[in-house]
Amino acid sequence: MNHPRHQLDEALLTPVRLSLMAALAEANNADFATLRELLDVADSPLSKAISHLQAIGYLRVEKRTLGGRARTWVAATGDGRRALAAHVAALQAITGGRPG
Amino acid sequence: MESERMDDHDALRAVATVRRRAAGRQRPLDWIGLWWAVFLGGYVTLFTVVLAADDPDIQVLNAIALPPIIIAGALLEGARARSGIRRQERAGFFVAMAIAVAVVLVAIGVTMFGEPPWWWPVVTGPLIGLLMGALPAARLLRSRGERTVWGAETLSRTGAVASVALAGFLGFSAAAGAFGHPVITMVVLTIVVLVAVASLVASSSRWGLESIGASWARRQWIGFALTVLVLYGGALPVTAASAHPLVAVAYGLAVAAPLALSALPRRDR
Repeated sequence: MNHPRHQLDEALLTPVRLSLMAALAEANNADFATLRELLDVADSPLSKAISHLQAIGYLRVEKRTLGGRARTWVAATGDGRRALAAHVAALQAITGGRPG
Repeated sequence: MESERMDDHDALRAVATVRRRAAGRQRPLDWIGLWWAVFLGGYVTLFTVVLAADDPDIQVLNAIALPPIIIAGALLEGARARSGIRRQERAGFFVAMAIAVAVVLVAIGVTMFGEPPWWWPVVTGPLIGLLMGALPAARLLRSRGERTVWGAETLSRTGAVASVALAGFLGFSAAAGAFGHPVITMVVLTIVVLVAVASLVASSSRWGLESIGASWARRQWIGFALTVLVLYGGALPVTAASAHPLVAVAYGLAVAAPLALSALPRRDR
């Protein structure tokens, strides 16, 4: 059970969820349209990824209005940031720290 | 796509790529943050000069210099909304803020109750600028090489009209303050308070300051920066010379011009 693979987080094994957490770790708090552009994904997979990560407490979602238009903002929680850091550390241990 | 798994090397590459893109996306905010630091430094310099001068004729400078500071806070919030990113500042930012506030309080205390050396106002403002500008400058250096995404340059009609109105207000408050008349000074101070209240109450409405900031691209931010530069740069000489009404009007027009011009529609090239 000491192999770093056991430290990988199940919730971050899919590309969209992992990229979403990585974007929010850098940006802290981003709106839906910006995340869609940063991750280069369609609305549906992004919505599913946000719902999943929100359900396990890695993300927080809120609506804000500007100029009469509501926008959805997503932020990483402390648990989410720690989970991403642990997941990336495990990936680096497995790969020897190189993206390949 | 949402459920497919990634190779470990691909996963690390994806994390690095997304982080770089997110950092590049924040570069406009960091440039604005750097400008804000220079702007705050300029304001504190002007404020300490006025305080040290102990001359009632130039106390009105504080009334002239205050509106852009109040306005810029709400405009910056709009810029964050436009960029689609709101940074939750970390400990370093709050430490810099606490030191900056302490420096300002010490500066006020020394200037009001002590005998500050002549260089005191010259040092205090730039020190505030350095404190507030260090973090955005470091972030810009860290993300250098990434594309800076400012977004569409086209300004909406509402944004253009509101920006010209804002330019007119800043020009008016500068010109009114430069007259140096006690009644006019009172009017300017009243407007300052009204702007502060209005910007807090209605900042996210369609015509609010936050919405104006959200509509601005690089061109309008440069226009606003030049407007503030003219306003702060000209405030002391114009006020100290007990300006002729024509000079005061010219000063107001010079203040309003850069922002107003930046909001005008561009001709297709």
